[in-house]
Amino acid sequence: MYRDDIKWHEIKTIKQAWELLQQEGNVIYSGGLGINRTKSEKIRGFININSLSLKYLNFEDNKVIAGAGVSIAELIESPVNKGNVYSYICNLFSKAASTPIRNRMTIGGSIVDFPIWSDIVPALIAVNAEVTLFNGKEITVNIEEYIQKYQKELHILLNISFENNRDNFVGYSNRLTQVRFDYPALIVNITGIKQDISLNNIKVVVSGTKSKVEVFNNMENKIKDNFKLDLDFIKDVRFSADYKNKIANVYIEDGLKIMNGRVK
Amino acid sequence: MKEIFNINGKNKKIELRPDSTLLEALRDNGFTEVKNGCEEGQCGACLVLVDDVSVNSCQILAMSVKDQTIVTSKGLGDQHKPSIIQEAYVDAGAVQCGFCTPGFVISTYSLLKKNPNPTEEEIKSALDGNLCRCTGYIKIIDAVKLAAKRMNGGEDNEK
Ligand code: FES
Ligand code: FES
Repeated sequence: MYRDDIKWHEIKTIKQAWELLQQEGNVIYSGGLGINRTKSEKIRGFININSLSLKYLNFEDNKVIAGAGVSIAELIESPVNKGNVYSYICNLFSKAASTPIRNRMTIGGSIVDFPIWSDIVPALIAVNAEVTLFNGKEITVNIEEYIQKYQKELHILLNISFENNRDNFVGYSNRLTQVRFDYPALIVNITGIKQDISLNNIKVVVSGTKSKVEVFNNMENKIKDNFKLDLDFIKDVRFSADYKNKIANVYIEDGLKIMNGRVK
Repeated sequence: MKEIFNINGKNKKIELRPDSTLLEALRDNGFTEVKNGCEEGQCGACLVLVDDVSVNSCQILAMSVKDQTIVTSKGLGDQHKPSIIQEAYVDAGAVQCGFCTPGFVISTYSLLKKNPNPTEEEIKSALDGNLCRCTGYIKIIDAVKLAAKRMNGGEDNEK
């Protein structure tokens, strides 16, 4: 339960938000869906960043730049001509939660919060997205570096960016659930470059593991017949860890076949 | 504490706590057409429009939307002056116990505003955040189709 004397801080600038964030017990409030799951007593104040101008979608030089306050629905429904990478992202994001939740879920909150069932973070890792954050100064880092380092430290997420279109890009994704509107027990995303008959730059992203997500780069050098990844999943009430490992490997095999054009 | 919220087109002073969800704030101040089904973001009974976008009011703290416009299903129409969508739900027999209906009406409004001629697949997908324990959904899908037809000036509009 939240404490009774919880405060709302209305702010005008990132600097104000940053100063408040450094005071114990203050948290950033944007969509509020992640915070709502915790209802933590440790929270003393909400820093409402909805008044900051973080609700922008820009398209520059083959880059999609989404402010942290953009909702998942806004990103998907943007009427611009989408390139192959942006379309791949939209397809994966549209699997997250339900329509009204996607209307409220912000891109920033989804990355800062990064629950194990996230559809958002594994998709962004698969396309090598970048994250711009403020932690006293503004910096831009690859999303994998962000997850390893900055996500655990105090910061304000400002935007994400990823390529709109990549020549010869191919992508695959599959997620293990019991019903359509369910938290995924695991997700396998694969991206690569298909030229003539060869598939290169293969990146495999598997989420739902004990470390939340595992990333395998340049897999074209490692994939041989009977290739299997040994993935360390958590077991849950729906599926055992061993079952998830088997399913993840089936998805990877299927995905590579489809991307290679061996299955229609 | 007391704060002014714009609800169903009127500024209204409402009593709430700093940590009240929008669902609690609305229901505690008489907007009981917004239903509490799960408080988990799963059932859609609590859906309202915030700045014309459908959201689960149980998942949002009210203070975070203080300066935005809020519309409940009654803001779209009531029994004296029902909206086309509400009438279509009645006429299609899509209401049994009625607990889920306000949420479905909000989702239907959102869908038809963006897409006046949805396919059955698009209707199912737009209603993915709403649960109904009574109807089996067939009549609800019929109601959305009927509302779309009437809004587009189809023959059923003559009713
Ligand atoms: S009460 Fe909000 S989704 Fe069920
Ligand atoms: S009519 Fe009873 S839950 Fe839908």
